Amino acid sequence: MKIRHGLVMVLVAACCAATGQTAEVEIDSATFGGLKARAIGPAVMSGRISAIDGNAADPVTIWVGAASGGVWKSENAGLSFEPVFDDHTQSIGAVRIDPSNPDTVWVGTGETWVRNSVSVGDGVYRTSDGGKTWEHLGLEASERIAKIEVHPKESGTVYVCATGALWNASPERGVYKTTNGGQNWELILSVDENTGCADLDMDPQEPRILYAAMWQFRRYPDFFTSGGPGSALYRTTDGGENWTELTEGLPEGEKGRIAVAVAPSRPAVVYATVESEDTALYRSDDLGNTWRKTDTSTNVQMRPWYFSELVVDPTDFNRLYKPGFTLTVSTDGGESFSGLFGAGFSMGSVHSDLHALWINPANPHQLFLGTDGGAYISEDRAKSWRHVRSLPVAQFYHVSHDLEWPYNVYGGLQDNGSWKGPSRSSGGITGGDWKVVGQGDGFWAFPDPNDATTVYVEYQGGQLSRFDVATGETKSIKPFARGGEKELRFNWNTPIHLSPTRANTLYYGSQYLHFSSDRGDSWRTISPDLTTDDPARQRQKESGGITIDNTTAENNATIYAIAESPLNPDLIWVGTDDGLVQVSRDGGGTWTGVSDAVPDIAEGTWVSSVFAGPHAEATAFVTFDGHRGGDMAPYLYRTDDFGASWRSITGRGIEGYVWTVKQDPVNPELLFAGTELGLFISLDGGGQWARFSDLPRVAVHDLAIHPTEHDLIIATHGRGIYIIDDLTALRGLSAEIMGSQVALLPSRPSPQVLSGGMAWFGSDDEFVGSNPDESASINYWLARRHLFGDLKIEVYDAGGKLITTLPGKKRRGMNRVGWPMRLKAPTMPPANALVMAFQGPRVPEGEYTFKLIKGKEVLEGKVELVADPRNPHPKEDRLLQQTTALDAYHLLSDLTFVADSITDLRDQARDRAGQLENRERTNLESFADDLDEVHGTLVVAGEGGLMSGKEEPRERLGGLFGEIVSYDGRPSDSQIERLGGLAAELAAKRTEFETATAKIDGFNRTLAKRELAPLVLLTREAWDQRQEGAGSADDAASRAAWTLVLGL
Amino acid sequence: MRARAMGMILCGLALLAGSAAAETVDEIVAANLEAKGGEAAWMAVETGRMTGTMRMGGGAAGAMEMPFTVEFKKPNKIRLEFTMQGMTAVQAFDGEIGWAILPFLGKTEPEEIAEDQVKQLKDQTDFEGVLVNYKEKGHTVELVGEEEVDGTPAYKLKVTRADGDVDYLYLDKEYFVEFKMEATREVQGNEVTVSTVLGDYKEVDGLLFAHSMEMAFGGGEAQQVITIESIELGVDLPDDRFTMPKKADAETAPAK
Repeated sequence: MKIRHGLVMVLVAACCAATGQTAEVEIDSATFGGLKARAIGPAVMSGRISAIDGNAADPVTIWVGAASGGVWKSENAGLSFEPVFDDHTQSIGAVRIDPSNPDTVWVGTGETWVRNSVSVGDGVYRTSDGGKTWEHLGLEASERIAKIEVHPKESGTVYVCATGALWNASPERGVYKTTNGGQNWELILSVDENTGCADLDMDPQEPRILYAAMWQFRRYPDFFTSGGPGSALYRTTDGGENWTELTEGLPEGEKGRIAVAVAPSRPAVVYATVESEDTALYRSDDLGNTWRKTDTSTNVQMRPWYFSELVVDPTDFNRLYKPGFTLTVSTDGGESFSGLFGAGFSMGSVHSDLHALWINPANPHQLFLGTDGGAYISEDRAKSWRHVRSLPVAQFYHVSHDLEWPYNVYGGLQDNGSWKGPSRSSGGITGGDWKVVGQGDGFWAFPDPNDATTVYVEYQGGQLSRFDVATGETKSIKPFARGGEKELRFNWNTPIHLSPTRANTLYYGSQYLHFSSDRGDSWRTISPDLTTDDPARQRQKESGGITIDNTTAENNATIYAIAESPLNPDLIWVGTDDGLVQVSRDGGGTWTGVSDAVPDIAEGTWVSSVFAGPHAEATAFVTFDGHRGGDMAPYLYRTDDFGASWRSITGRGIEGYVWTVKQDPVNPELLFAGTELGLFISLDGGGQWARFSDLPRVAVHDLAIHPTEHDLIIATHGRGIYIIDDLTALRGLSAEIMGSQVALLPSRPSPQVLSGGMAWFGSDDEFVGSNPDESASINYWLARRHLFGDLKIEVYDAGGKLITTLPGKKRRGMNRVGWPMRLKAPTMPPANALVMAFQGPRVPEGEYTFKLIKGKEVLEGKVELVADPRNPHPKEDRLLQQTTALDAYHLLSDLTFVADSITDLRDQARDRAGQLENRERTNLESFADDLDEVHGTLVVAGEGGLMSGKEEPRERLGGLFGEIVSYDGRPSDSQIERLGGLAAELAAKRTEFETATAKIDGFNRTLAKRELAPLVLLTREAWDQRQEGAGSADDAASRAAWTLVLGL
Repeated sequence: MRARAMGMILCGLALLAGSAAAETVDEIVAANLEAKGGEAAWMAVETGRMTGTMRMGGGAAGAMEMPFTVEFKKPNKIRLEFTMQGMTAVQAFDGEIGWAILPFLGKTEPEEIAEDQVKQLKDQTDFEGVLVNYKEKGHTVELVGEEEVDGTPAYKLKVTRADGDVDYLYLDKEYFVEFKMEATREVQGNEVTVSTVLGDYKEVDGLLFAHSMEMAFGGGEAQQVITIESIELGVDLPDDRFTMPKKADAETAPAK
């Protein structure tokens, strides 16, 4: 009995269970087990695309790098995309396919379009299997990579253009080379710790020639500078051993960001855009030895640090594309440019702000373009464009929700306005379900809790509006400086805060706190300047470096976070971007600075969020974010005495600089934190954290907990909105439960969502967001994966009758099993086609008992089923629907029993006839034929199938049943009448059959004489047993129970 | 035998059993087969029949539940039947020809099935599992490494089948039984990865069988869950249960 090994081990595990309890339970990502987050998109506006690559030999395979949404691969020429990089940092700078092996792809992480909201990378990755698996190959500290060039013949020789850290000096930047596929890297071009590589291009005919643009740049919380003595253009002709600065014909003096592009069809021709006092396009016809200034058009000069991409047509060295604010093209070798999206600023259908362009070398009419608003494809040489709607890389800053059912989510996005979309929609959440509610760069967006047609939205730098969803009108409601106040300073991402305690009341933050009790029509200033008002932090007008770039993105010394206590309207918290936490306990009359009491945080560190505790008035949470000074560490604090003292809740397990923290409104120990590297959950008030791993490794900028649905709504900056449905089980995850081997967890009442909802055919080129699982959820905890013996769930009705048995989920941690809240599908006799009756009748709302059976252990719990909140049907109508459906359901069982009885007897008769002779034989054969005829009037038999158009009681009754169960209200009188008619018809057939069976005795006498087995009628008991309970629910008992539950 | 000895040790050390007991792929495979009843015992089984329920889909509409029966006969015969709305479909492979009866749209005659479907059936004929006698079968097995799969520490084995197809098996580090498989197959010219989570292991005639299989096609949540209710070994299965009936006598007897 070798098997005993396994069984002994099971016993051993049980013995551990009894003694292995520990005081502190360690949590990890698996603790949350099968808890899922569903992506609802949107992809309709997509997000910033930073890199694109394709392969001439296989132009249906396209790789796209999103600014903060990972790497995506299309194998159908951009029709649909799959994410292939979810386990790694989502900030992408460069994507390059190995020309010798298209399944090998290099990814440089860390975007180099270094706007204020840019994310961070952690080095170089490579896949050798087309994106299934990735290897991290170093340069961790490079933070950003602009380009990767792979030798056209030697796969192991690769050059990396490392731009380096944005917010601090750092030595790991410049041009790196490997000759062994990334095992070691050599820094082959470096300038200093403030200057990195911004662009790199390789001569396609002579790969030892490379051009590298070096760039001196730096960002601060309040300032950006592009340019300096470090910036220059270099060339090597020996694979990087020696470099020469190229100067002849290029501007003298300080330069900024440079883009360089070799013409593939004539590599002696090289183009460069050079940021300088007079930013321009330069052309060289001699491999970069000498240069000539050719063009200074607006699109060439505009925002050189943000638009620094240059692409030469692969077959025409005089055709040159300049993706910038818009797309312009030169057809005369760079002498002049014209717009491709119409004249001037008319953008046509393409989103502004372009950062990536790949042209198919084998077909230069085919272009793939990356913009701030996603990817576009042209098949006609940039004349017309198709937006890719299958890339859900939306970059949300914040999220909120309304109180509708289903509720909608609202939020603002980087360069993509503000949007409203449903949390569920028939057939899935499509692009068309999302409505734009605000323009520009969107940030906070809140529906008015008392009037869902009103949405408060804003765009960059404090432009606050009130949007009317019904009419589409927008009214600007921003406050202005009033008597004696200084010019208002609004953050790029200005905080709007709705009072949780009063209607029509909102707060808005400049350096002052503004208060309105009339929906923003008038404002009162309720604070002095709450910032440091440090002039050194107010340099935005000089920001940009060589080219001034004052877009409000560097506005500083502003209020960044506001929170009114849900327990006391006079208690207001404020956090500023220059490191101050302020509190007022008298509705803004007096203010106290409390940040000095926060331990272990550098002065002036940006306050990224404040959260007023919902459980105790004196409790608040703040997060600090030092990444704009080069400090990427997480900082979370909590006070329980109105800010007089603070303690760190930056427990182990949390990674990345922190954007937000929320305390659960039900379980005070349950905390959620959004960081640059993902979502983290603490079950002990911040002592330890664990990553929620059913989410890409994407920045989580904001979180909202829905008060009635109990969902966690997750705003990612790069992958749109995710929702974790129903936090109830997580709220129940106590140390005691986690210390047990198996335990039940609670769930919210499950609505019986109304049947129906129209949906039409879809298309693979559109991302469709997932709906919540509409079954009732049964939740439990397993200390380890279940391997041996049964794990199942039995559900019982109020009368104690078993309704169904469900297979259990088996993973370590939390498990969730869905019960469809229906009886099994009806029993049907065999025939020649399926009938539209695949689901059983719904069980009535109310409480149901379930048993979780794990081996010998049985745990008993309850689930509550409630009506759809939209349900328009009175109780008596729903009861009539349910009892009528049940009548049809049982009638189908009866029909099946009769049909089975007939065929059973027929088969016996044929069997015996085969053993008889002469008249005895033909008599029995003719009896069997008669039975067959009766059977043929019950079900459609024989060939022909669905399209035969034939109908007998099986088809008619099945169809009627299907109609009745698919509508939750009162069945029509015609349906009820029809059911009665079918019941009568069946009764008549039954009588016909029973009459025919009168002949059995005579046949059995003959059979006895011949010593053959008698014909035996199938009994209902035997038949029921054969059905193993399916469809054999006790009619009277279950109907009584249902009436009881509905209170009728 | 080391694995078995480890089973006897005190409970505090049980968690170390995996890492202590096996380091090489041969040791891990041996421990797996040992835990499941022994390679020789598996090889001695000639025929088997499993019955249970297949569930497809889910949500509020409810999973479609279909009773099924699978019959195996070594070395390469299989017959699968499942029932929906009283109609029973058959898929079978007799070692040479794969065929099916799919009556749901009115067709009751048997038909030969496409090559890639035949391939899927063929793969399933190996009901003892790829690791039993794998060298003789022409498969190769490599230890890829140790990995945590959904929170469970596992040995990851790569099985390259004789025909070149690749399966990954994840073996529980403590008990050595596989709890997850990933198989990549070509279907209609495209690659599809099927992952199967195994559980509810129970003993049948001294052999350990998984009685639950949650299958996901192309990633994501399981779309098909198989629950096995009974397994009989050494049943009498004449060869003609697996061969395609002539069109005239299509109505073969359903499984017992």
